[in-house]
Amino acid sequence: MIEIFRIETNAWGQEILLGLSWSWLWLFLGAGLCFVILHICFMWFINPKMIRKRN
Amino acid sequence: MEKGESQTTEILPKNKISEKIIRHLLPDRIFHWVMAVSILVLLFTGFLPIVGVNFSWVDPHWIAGIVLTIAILFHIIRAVFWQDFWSMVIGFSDLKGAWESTRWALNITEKAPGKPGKYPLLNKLYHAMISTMSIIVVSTGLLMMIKIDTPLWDRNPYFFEDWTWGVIYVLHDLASLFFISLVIIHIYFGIRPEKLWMTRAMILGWITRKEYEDHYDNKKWKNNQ
Repeated sequence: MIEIFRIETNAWGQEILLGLSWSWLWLFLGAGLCFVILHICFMWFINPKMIRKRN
Repeated sequence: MEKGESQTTEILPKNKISEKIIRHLLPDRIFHWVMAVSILVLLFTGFLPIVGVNFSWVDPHWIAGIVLTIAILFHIIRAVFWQDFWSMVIGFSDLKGAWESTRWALNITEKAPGKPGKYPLLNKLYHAMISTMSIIVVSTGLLMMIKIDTPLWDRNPYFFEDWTWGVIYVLHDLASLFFISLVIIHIYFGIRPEKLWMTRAMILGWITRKEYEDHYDNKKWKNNQ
């Protein structure tokens, strides 16, 4: 389960919000790379057969 | 469209195919590359320590942030007073054009769609995403500078309450993470073979008359060069 936030407990036992969890880093990195891979596949396999081009 | 530009001729003479049309003036190219370098420095100095590459990152990070802030302010002033601000705003005609283009490309309709102006819908959507994330990351980044020592002031971590600092950090982190995906996609399109003419335009400033006629509607992007 991916953590959403970075949280720590201060000297008085209170929970403090520090920021977004760094687990998200891999999600956003993966999303960018997935887009690139999917677009390459689209341009390689689908675009030449199914997409009409301007003359 | 830059102010003062007029409509081009609609018929393309063969001897004008290689004629150069200015797409990005020098100040806009300088802005783009300053923004690109500063964002790359910000991403590397911001995220490398998180993945275990430890170095003194705070000073280059905030200095690159200041450079990015100044570049964005320059761009906003230039876009509002010297350029056609509304040419980058998404309108109903963009959505209608995208719908018609998709239907035509998928052979659903035979009615050929019109060409876009200087900035097609996908350009505008990307610009809207980058603009939104830039505003968030710069505004929160400037507030975060209160917590570090700079030549102009000493750090004050008690300027906001803990909860407020937390929200500022969450927003800064979220916008920074979006930049990772957006930069990957931007560089990918910049190096795709069929998009290299646009990358050349961002380096040298010009596109050929043929590229202009092939990709743009000269009634929507008027250019007399």
